[in-house]
Amino acid sequence: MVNSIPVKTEEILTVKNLKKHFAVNHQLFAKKKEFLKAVDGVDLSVYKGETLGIVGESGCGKSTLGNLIMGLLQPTEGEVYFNGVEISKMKEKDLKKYRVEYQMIFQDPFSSLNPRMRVFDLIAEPLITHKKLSRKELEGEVHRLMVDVGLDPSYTSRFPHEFSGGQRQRIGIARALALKPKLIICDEPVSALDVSIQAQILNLLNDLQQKYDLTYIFISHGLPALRHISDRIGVMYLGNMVELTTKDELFKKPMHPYTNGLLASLPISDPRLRNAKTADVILEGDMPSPVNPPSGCKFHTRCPFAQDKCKVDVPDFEEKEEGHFVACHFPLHQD
Amino acid sequence: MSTLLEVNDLKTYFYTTNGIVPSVDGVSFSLESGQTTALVGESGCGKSVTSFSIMQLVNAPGKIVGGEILYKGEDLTKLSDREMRKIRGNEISMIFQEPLTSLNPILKVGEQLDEILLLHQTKSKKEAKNSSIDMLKKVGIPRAEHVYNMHPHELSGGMRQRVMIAMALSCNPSLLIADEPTTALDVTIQAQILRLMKNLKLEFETSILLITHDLGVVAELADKVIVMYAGQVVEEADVMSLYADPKHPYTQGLIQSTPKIDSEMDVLTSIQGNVPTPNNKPTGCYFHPRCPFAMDVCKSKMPELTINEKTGNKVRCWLSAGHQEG
Repeated sequence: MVNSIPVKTEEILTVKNLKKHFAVNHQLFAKKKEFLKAVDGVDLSVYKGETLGIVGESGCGKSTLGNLIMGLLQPTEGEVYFNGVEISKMKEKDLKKYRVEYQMIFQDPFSSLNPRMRVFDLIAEPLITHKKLSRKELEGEVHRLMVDVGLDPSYTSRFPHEFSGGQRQRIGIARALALKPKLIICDEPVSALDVSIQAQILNLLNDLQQKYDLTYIFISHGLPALRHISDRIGVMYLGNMVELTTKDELFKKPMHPYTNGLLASLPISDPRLRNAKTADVILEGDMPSPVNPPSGCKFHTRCPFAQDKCKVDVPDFEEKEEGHFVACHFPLHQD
Repeated sequence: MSTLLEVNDLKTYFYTTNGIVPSVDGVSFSLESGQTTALVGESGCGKSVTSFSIMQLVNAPGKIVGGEILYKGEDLTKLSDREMRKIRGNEISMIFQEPLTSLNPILKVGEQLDEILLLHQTKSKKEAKNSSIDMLKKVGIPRAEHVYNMHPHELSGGMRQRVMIAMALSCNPSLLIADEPTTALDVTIQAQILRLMKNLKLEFETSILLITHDLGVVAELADKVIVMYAGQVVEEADVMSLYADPKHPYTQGLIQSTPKIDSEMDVLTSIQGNVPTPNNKPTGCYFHPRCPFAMDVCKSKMPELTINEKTGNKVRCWLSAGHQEG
């Protein structure tokens, strides 16, 4: 899935103007309610078989976006369509049928597995909830899943604490795979793991994608891991998507100054490159609070190229070149 | 270049109910003044316990059971608490990974900065305040006078780490231990802090012991690199030769399994298996169950950390030992 990007026309997931605002002041008689705009109008199409990476710094709303798509949070506004069916406003009972088709892998394999359940029960749980299988079929399925994710199938009666972080993440992946989903949302699946284990898990996710024809939404703060696994990458800043394009375009021709700054902030991979790096493109300042974001383009306070227009007008998220979406009044690297 | 700190055969063990855990198992290295040395390894390799041992901050059930830590010729392991307190914060200071938990939440930033100066230097409160504000300016905090009166929770992660660095450098220490200084920060903030550390290194001529798992941070900052695995040093080399020609299979694996922005790879080379737990280490070379080049000798005998006379670099591996013989 890394080199050849097949023609993808079939949309598996569509997100339209999705918003999630959290009320932040809890005072009972507060005159004006304040809202934290975690996700503030995101449009997105995910194509069948691709890996869409979503990158951004903490507080940019990338995890909230993942949770909204999964239906773990109710959107304030906007819709999520899965295979053309709107799932964002569906009742829990009706949703159960669709839940089988999209699953999630979480960041922290230490807190996302019930410490009192044995591996067999952990992996069998989704199967028991959604399918009527005999004990023998269940055992066969769990065995198959454990082999698929590279766990020794003889470990079924162990507890999560008996496994290392990487192995626990494999249990999490087996749970997500159990119902043969079409789409898996991976929320920082390797961030809590050691470098040598990260590579194992990234390779495993790649193999599984080919074997089961999966679509991934891969949420991460680390561009290097995303470069490795994604076909397209979307960049988020303060609740908005600011750039979305193919992986190669993004690295070769970042159009949004924030993407450019993110790329420039990455540590070098080899000390021999120390002098080659120009220091002046490092982004200054911190990300503003999402409770009271800047006017106009939310990035203008940190943007080295900001002009007066940026302080007033909100830029549209437009397709500036084929397949290259960007929300900026003065995009970089334009032909 | 003079040697500032020398660690000889350091052993720090933890006495737990499940038995003795040798977290640091005979570690030796030296730090030269004015240099940045990186201590690299994955979780559980003993890199943080090594730094806590230098600071004499290992708490029960942990204990330094052997070896010496010579700082300017004086063995830190033999000092009394009182003598050690004079060194800590003054001669050797430390910055930690998570600045929110290492700052006192109920004291203002200024009070925490002044405290160190009043403790270690004969300064009046007013002088302390002035030099604290100076320090805040040096670490790039805008409106330093204002921040001086703020509480840690009012600051962002990057600002808090700047305050930590200001505190650590306020007594102009000879050695700064930075334990994962940028791990909790976002990349754009990490880039700012790394640039700050580079500039401060030039300005203060402080030696830095950088503890990290991130090879990118090492590539940016370090002069010398020490790679640890399962409580031992497995390789020590200057930063250029370590990246150009890593000798130990573990170092090679670490470098290859890091996804890179500037090269395209279909499959990441990963290191198979997991880091052994400290109380269940394999026989022979600790790395042999994961090593793609393991030979028979690796399973039974632990290789020594051997110096290459030509380069001065060290490696603990039978492969390199064999090459030198042949």
